[in-house]
Amino acid sequence: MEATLSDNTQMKTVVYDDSIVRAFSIVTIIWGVVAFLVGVIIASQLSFWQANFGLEWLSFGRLRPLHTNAAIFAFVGNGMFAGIYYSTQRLLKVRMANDMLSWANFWGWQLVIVLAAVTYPLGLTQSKEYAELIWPVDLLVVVVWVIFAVNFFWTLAIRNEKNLYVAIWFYISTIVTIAVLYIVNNLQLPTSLLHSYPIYGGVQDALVQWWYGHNAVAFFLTTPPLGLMYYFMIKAAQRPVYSYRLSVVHFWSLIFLYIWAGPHHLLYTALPDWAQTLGMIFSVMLWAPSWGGMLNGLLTLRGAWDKLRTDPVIKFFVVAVTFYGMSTFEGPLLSIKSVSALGHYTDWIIGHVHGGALGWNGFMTFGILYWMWPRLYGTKLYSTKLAELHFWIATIGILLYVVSMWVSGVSQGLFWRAMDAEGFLKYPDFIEAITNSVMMYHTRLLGGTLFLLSSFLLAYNMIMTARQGKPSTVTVQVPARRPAGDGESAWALLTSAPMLFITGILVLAIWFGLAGSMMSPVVLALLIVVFVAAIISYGLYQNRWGHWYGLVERHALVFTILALVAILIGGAVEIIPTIIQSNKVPLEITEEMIAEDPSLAETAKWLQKPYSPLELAGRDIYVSEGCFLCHSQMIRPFRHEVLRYGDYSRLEESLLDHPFQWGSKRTGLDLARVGGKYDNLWHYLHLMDPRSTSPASNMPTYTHFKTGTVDPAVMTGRMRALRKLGTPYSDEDIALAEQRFMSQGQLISDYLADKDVDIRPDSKMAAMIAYLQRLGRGPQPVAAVPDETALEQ
Amino acid sequence: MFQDYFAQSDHLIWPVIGLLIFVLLFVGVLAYVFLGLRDKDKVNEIAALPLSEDSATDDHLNNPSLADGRAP
Repeated sequence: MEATLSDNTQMKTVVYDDSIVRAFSIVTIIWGVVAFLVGVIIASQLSFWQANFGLEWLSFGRLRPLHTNAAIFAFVGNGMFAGIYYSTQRLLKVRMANDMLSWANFWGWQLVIVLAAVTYPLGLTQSKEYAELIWPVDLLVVVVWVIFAVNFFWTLAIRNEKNLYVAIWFYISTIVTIAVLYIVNNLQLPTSLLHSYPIYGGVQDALVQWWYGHNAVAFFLTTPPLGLMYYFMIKAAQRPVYSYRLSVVHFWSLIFLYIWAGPHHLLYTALPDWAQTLGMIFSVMLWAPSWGGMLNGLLTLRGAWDKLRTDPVIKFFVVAVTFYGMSTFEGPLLSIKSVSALGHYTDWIIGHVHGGALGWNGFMTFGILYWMWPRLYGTKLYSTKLAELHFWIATIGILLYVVSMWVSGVSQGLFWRAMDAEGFLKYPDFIEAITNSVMMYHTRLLGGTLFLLSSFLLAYNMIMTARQGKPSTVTVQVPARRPAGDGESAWALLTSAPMLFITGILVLAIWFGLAGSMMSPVVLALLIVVFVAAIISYGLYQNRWGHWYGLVERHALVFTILALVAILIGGAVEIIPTIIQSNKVPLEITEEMIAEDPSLAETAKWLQKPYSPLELAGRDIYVSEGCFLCHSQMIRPFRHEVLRYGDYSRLEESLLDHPFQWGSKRTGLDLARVGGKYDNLWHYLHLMDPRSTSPASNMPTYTHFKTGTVDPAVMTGRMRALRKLGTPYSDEDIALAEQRFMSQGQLISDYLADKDVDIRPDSKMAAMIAYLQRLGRGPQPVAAVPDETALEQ
Repeated sequence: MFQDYFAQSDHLIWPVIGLLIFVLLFVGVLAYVFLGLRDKDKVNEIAALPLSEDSATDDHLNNPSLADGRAP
């Protein structure tokens, strides 16, 4: 529908699609309650181990991924979609390009969430943090994300506003980066419809996983809410953004720096030192853009601070941005190696994550919902007082949560490293750190419960607001405008002087990396020349340069390409060298190889040997149960860790682990060298009832390991898959897999029978015991009388 | 040891290159915002884009109580 104004400007009538915004808003609230509820359940399990009611599908290891995924992808994710669909249409002055795609995005995303809610409690998981979904669901995620991307970029193409506002930049970076991260991290080799092995192993898997894991935080939990902040805070405060210039610096430096920071999750592990240091440096550098963005948000409220007293929306936004500032201060702080030495594996990290996810993302989402919902129903908010009550209860709840985790985290770090005057562990019994934390666990449970209860107030307020209004349809008259007119073609932009200089600098920088010692000074000189030429060109043609970026901001395709290049640089620089080098590492070292290169003798000493079929079955159960969520398998090179757990972990000890299980939290002991530390009976008793061997333990019982069985035939296929990924299984290993599986199981079964314990040789218990006894040791006997094959192995 | 193996990698130049690219582009962005963005009217117009819709959107016309941009 078009009309003509008196000044001959073509006017278009645009009807925004707010039905999709309403749908995403509703599920945001529903899934938010679910995420908080599951969080309270698993928090209660840490306080009271009985809280899983003896049900395997309610155990901590299975529910924890459900909690994190529900909070991140269901609560924040749906809130993100609601905010993006609402603000994008208004910022671009156009309806979303295709309603069918919008609804496919909605229903597809809900299907992903439902499948996650079903598969995780069943133990179907990849056990990679925030990437636990099994491969068929991963494919669905990719399809849904592509649908969202197509709809979004199509909308950009048909927009009626030529300028791309800063919020849109953040949405673009989110869409392209999440696509890259998700696909690269989830490359895997399926062994069945419900199981797969990641193509990466050991250190490769660790680096790729935390490159993904950290940037899931960056580009799912940070850039979308920042984009939403740049829209909804401005709407709520009725003030333009404090500094547009700062938002330009904020955006580009944030997306460029964030992508490098992943290795700070692996400090003091077996990751190469250079990668650790790189992750630490870029994490510290993130302080600047993060705080720049925070200040830009808070200062947008200049002149509107009086609203803080009366407007719950502003209250939620201010606390959200404050938590953003706190989290982005704490993150770089924890990335400093000496601080990480204390804080890593402790509850401090859990507190940090919740400050970001619930304090920053949660409050931002609440604020957006309170602002948007009455408008979606053409009415007033049902009760401002209830919103105020929600705000205060949630604030007290999150503060109780975060502070208690800080206290218990720092305490745990200090407990673990405390030494006596003789240089030995002051608290050699690990459980002391847990018993010391119990009060803090109770406090966390209280804080989480308050947060959950407060969300019911939101739900009630939203229901009553909707009941007093009716779904509104927003119709606007906007000037019709084609964004790519006026000779601003993509080609003209791509061949403009600034773009050519940027390309030249990138190409020369890469050439410098590839050039040998003879050529590198020449390339470096060229690099300097091009840089100086760029400065001169800028001096001569300032207006054109200034105009150029303005054009980039209006040209979605060029802007997207530049954003993609920015995020690819960091990932490529860290991951490609590690993958190339890792692929050169021999997974088998023979005497002949050592004779040629004597330095390989030390490597051969630590080089991991393939798991036996039963051990592999045990490892798959370990992965399925999410044991790594409480038990690390990575002993850091500190005296207190070596004294407690054994020799520090070497990189070559986990090269064959698909996925790696280094872990990121120690509610229980590190298990890297638990093999041989206790006998089979101890493990049996401990798994059946952890209190029988560790009286103060809060670990769940795993009685179903005794009754559950593993089909040995399955292991043959899984070993074949691992061989394709590089594990040196011989044809004989695979041919004899079932036989060795059963004979090793029989050994464990016979051992326990002597202790009056009856288990089947093909039980999950036998497999888990075999795996745990293998950790930190070489191959174990697979038959009562070791045959020639076993000896060769 | 493998840590040494990686530490001696030829690829270690890449982090330095990446850092170099970042510094160059960061300087470029700073130069742009301080020297290139001189048109204050244009900057103010873009900074206030979310507010510009209010004059065109009829939800505020239908709901005067919401016109101040906050829940009453």
